[in-house]
Amino acid sequence: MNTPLNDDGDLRCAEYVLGVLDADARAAMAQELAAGGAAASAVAEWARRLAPLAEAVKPETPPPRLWQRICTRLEFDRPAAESGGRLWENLRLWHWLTLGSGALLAGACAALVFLLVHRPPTPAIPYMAATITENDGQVGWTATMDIGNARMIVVPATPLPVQADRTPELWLIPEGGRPIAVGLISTRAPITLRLSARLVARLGPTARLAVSIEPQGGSPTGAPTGPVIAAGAIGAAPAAAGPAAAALRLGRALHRAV
Amino acid sequence: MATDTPCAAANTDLRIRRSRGLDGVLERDGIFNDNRHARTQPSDEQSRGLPRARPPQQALRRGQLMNDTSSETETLERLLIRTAMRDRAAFSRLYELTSARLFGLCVRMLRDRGEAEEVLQEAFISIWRRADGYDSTLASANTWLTTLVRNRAIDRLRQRREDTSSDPLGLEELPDESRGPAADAEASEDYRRLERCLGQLDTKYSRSVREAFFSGATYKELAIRCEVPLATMKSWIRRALLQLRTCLET
Repeated sequence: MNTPLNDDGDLRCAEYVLGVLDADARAAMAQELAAGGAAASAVAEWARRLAPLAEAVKPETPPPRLWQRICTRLEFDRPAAESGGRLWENLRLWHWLTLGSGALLAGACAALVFLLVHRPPTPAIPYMAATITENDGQVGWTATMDIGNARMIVVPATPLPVQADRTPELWLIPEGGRPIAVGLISTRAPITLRLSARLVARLGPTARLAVSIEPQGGSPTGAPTGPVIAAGAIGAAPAAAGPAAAALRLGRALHRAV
Repeated sequence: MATDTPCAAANTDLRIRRSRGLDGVLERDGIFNDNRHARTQPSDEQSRGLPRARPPQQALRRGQLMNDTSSETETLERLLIRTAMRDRAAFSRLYELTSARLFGLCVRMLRDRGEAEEVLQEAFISIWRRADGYDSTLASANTWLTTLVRNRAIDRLRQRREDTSSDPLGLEELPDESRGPAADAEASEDYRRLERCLGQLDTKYSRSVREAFFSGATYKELAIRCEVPLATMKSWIRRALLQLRTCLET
C-alpha cells in the first residue's frame, strides 16, 4: 500500500497541484487525498515545488472592506463569549507556549497499531490524534484517541523531567470551554486513559489538549492548579478515514519512520 | 509580471456551471494535515536537548518563499500557529503580511476583482478555521497559504463553464510571467531555483506551465488558447513537470 507512486501517479498529483485537471478529475483526486492515499505526500511535495511561482505575481492590496467582511463572517465584532477572567482563554497564557507544530511521532502510530491489533474496530470508528508540544517547541507527548473504545493512549516523546513530588496531568479544553481532566500521564511510559462519555462528546478538531504540572494524585480542585507545560490541537481523522485508511497511513508512517 | 493576456481575460466572461464546488465535500485544504503521519521523526539523540523540529537545511529551503527573508517567514509560521490557538491579533497580522500577495494571485487567476475578493475572503475564513491543520514540517507557511488560496481559486474557475475563449491566443503571445532580473535579486531561493529549472525547458513547455499555474486553466482550455491539440498540450505539460521534478531534485 505504501509503494512510491509511479510516474503516472506522481504526474496526476502534479497536474492536480498545477490545476490543469477538469472538474471531475479534480474532484476524484481530491477524494483520493481525503481518504489519505499515498498521493497525499506527492501532492504536498508538488505544492512545495510549484508554489514559489506565485512570487512572480504583483502584489495588490485588497480593499479594506475585505478584512471587515472577514471579521463579520467570523463574528469577531461580537465580544468573545464568557471570556472574562478565564485562565484557559487568556491569550497571555498561551503566548508563552511557543507551540511548534511538530509531526506526530511514530510512538503515536505504534499506539494506533496497538489499538488496531488488539480490538479490530468497526468501520465507523474515527481516530483522532494530537501532538502535545512543550513550551520549548519540543514534542512532549503524542495522544491517540480511539473514539469507539473510548480510550486514549498517551505516549511520551521527550518531555522534560518533572519534579519527583509532581505529576503531569492531561486536560481537554473544548473550544470556548473550561478544561476537563483527562487523567494523569507519565514522562516515561505510555499510559492508556479511559474516556468518559462526557469527554468523548467533546473531542474534536476544535478541542485542544494541554498538560499541567500538578501535585501527586492530580489537581485537588478539578481544574489545573500548576503551570501549563505543553499543549496541542486535536487532529480529526478525515471524514473518509475508517480503520483501513488509518492503517494505511500508519503503515506509511511506520515505514518512513525507520 | 501579471500582465493581461487576451485569452485569460476572455475566460473571465465565462460563468455558469455553478453546479459543483468541492467545498464542504472534501477537506482538500487539509491535504497536508492528512499526511502528517508520514514525516519521519528525528532520532532520539537529535531529540534530546536540541531543537528538533526539522533539519536546518530543510528549514531554510522551505523557509524562504515569496519575498520574505527567512525571519519574516518564521514570523508567518508563528502567526499561523498562534492563529490555530485562536489568537485574533496574530490572525490580523497574518492578513496584513500576506493579503496583498494572495490577493494579487487571486486577481491574476480569476481576472475579476469582485470574484478575487470573494475567493480571498473565503480563503481567510478557511485559514482561521483550519490553521490547526497546518504542519510546519510538511510545508512552509507560504506554501500552505498559497496552496489553499490557489485551490479556492481553481475551484471557483471550475464552477465557471468549462469552455474556453473563442479568441485563441498563439503560444508565442502568452505573457512572460518570469520576473525581471532586478526583482529576481529579492526573490527567494526556492523561486530562483524554480526559475532556473523553468529556464532550462523548451520555451513552449515553460510557457504552458506558467500559463497553467497563473490561469488555473484546464488542459482543454490551455489547448484551445494555444491552438494546439489537447494531446499535445498534455504531453508538453507532462514532460515539463517531469523535467522540473528532475531538475529540482538535483
